[in-house]
Amino acid sequence: MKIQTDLLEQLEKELSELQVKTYRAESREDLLKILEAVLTASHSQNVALEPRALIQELNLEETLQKEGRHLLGFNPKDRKAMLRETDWKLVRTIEAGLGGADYALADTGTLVLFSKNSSGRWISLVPKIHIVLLPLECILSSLDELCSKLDLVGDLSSFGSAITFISGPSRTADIELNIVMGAHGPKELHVVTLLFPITGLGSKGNVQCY
Amino acid sequence: MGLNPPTSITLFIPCLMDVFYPNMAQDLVILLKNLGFSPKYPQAQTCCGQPAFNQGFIKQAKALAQRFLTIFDSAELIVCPSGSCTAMVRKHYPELFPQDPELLAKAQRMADKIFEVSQFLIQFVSLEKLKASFPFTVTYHDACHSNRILGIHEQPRKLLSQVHGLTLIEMESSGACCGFGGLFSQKYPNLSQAIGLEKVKAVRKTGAQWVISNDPGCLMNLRRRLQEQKVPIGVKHLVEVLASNYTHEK
Amino acid sequence: MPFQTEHFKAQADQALGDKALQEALSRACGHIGRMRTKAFQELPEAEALRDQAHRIKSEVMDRLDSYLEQLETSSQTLGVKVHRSPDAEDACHYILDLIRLRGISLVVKSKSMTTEEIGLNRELEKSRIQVWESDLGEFIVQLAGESPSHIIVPAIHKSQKEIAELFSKKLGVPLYDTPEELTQAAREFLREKYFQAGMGISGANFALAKTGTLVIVENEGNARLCTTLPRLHVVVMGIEKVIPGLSELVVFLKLLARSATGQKLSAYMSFLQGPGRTAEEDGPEEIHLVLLDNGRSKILHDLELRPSLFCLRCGACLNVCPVYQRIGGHAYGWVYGGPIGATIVPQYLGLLRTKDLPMASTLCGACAEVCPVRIPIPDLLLKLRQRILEQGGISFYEQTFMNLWAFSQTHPFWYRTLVSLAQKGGRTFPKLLPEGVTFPNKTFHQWWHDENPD
Repeated sequence: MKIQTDLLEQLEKELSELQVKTYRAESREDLLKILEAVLTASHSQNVALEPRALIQELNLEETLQKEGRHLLGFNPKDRKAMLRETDWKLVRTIEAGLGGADYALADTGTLVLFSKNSSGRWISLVPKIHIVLLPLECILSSLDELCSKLDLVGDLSSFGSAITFISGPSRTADIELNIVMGAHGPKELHVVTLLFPITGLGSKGNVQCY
Repeated sequence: MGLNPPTSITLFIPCLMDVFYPNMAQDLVILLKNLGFSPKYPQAQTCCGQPAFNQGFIKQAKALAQRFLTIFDSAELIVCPSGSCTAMVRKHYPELFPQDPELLAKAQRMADKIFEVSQFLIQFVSLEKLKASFPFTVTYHDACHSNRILGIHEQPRKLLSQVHGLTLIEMESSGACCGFGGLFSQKYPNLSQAIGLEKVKAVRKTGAQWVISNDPGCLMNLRRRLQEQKVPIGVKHLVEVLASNYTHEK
Repeated sequence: MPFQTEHFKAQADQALGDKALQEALSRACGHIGRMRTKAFQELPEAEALRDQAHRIKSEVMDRLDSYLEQLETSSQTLGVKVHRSPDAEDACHYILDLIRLRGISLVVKSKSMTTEEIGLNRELEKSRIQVWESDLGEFIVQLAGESPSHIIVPAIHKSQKEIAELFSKKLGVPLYDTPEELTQAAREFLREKYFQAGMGISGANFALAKTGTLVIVENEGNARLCTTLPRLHVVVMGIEKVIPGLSELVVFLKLLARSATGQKLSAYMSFLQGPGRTAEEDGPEEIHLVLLDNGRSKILHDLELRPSLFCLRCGACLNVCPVYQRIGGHAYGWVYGGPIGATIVPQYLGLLRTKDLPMASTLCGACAEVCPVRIPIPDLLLKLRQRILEQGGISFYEQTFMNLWAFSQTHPFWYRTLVSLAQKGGRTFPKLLPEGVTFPNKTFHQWWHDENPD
């Protein structure tokens, strides 16, 4: 049974090979610094937060909100304005999506997102930059381990209308086999592993990490 | 060396070799004799039926197979210097008679007792007995049926490593098809030639003086493609190399 | 899609003469083939997984009807509308009706060979519906008015320069000279389409009978966009893609990306389970699953050829085929090329108009060696050849030749006589023989006879 730090090392190795940038946040302050650096480096002025319990718990809005940066948080009016009824008006303007992952699979460098917990999918799909916050306990060894957890629940559909497995940024090799990132999905994927406990979330051992 | 050598071995010489490359078959006889065997050769033999089978002519293939099964019925063990013919008997003969239990049983028995020559040598002959000398650089072409149906890959290489003075240089994609495919080369000549050209490129790249294989079809095709491209690399059957100390070099 | 299978030889010759295509194919097949080899070397349980995959497919095909029924029920539970389409016409009809009913004018598509099969794009365009392929390779091929030449890299036959010229001409962008700029141009152009499209059409790699889950595997993210943003999502999937459930799916997922591109897993895998939920911000409002037959039942009931249906559409066989490597996909004349194409296209379109496809093979077996589900393609091609003969597809000339030859082989006196004649002929008229071929003085048989007189 691999311990979490071993899994983290393996995960980070796989992620780097997939051109994913990896970080470790030892504390909330650490996390904020990392996020600030990523958002600044990518010149992201319009950022949307994924309506996920983890993201809400972390209370990032105040700190990340600053001059020249427009942060779309959990305000229901804001969120409504992003959606299909407005022809995805605000979604089109978002440059960075900040969300979480339900699990990560160390041996393939894969993030697993349940649409139920993300309240949708577009945050990990439409913006050019996708930043994922990943609690350490959520790292599993492999797809096999994930499947045995999912099997315990039995009803796959309870995880939402989509379970998405993400292994790296969007890529294509259709032009003379040259690999180019950001074909349609995110061009950059950043994964920040959280090494500090987050209050208010479920304990490890449940099928859903939180 | 693995199993006990058989008391008698019988030769099945592919029709292509019989007509176009009898010298290869003669070298096989010489090699086997010098290894202490007295090979038999039922003169009634003709073809294993592969050309008919490959073109979908099942009736004719069955007729030839039945004839083969009769002629070689009493053979204890059959040695064949062609991977594709051996594969025809081993793999396809049992498939030809699903409705006839007697013929099916005969076919199964035949499949168990026919060996491609390098298979035979590795299984039944201790390698120190080989006294071959071939002081040249060679590269080895893994003929498709030998390689993929019979799993022959190490055996020829082991045998070549016993040949005095020989240096083996592996080519890229030694298992890539040479483009012969039997009647394919007649029906789709441009395709066959284009595929063969890729093989010639790979052979040439090794810088070897000879290309060796164990299938007369491939050898005929390779010789033709090399000549077409004016590449001065020789073509030999594995048995010619292995018999080279016993025969005069050509 | 209209077929050109009867012109295989001419198309193959044309491909052989196309130097640029030759280079592109060599590079692509070589590269992807090597990636696949490496990926399999790194998977210690690969052979066991392939055996398992074959077994699962075999068991599914044994009870396909019942799995499809189970899939229908579980899909409906998820709120997915299921439509069984017997053929291309019906499938196109169903989709067009849906489009008209909902007043849709713009459709985005992600990669789906099945929609090629049914000629969907052409039908949509005939009805003045704007349809855009979103997979970059398919997008390129669509702009060029061509058909894909490879299952995984559809535009492999096009050079970067050609693509740049194409984009400049059709999208009005500058003549870019890097793949990054070209990809960005396609990204920007297609972005708006995702947001505006009333319908997204996709295929599916697998459907889980137990849960109704649809599985889509991709690298670009375009399938995710097509199946998330538009209100309506239509899936066109061959009936043979259904599998029992998650534990079976995992076997295939471990093999698929490695076989197709040499990746451990592709960048995105989506398990789709019905329309977007109330608490979710996106996801389609309606999903229609079109289960396409279009000749698959016929193959299913043909026990000898049934393994043709196991195909995962990974493209591994294409990359290692000596024939495909030289001619690419177009020469085969219909949607599917390479070894699997040579196997299934005759079964879909009829043997007599596609007979070159199973015949133009050396039966080298490289395809069977790499197939993740162990489809015995050379054996299937041999069966097809037998049937071509049975159905009268072999010329009288060839049949006569084969009959004479077989006669001589079963009547050695005639065989030996013919050979003697040929030897004399070959010596008198050496030019008639192919290059490098000569008739030696004696056959082995003659030599042995002389050395061992009875």
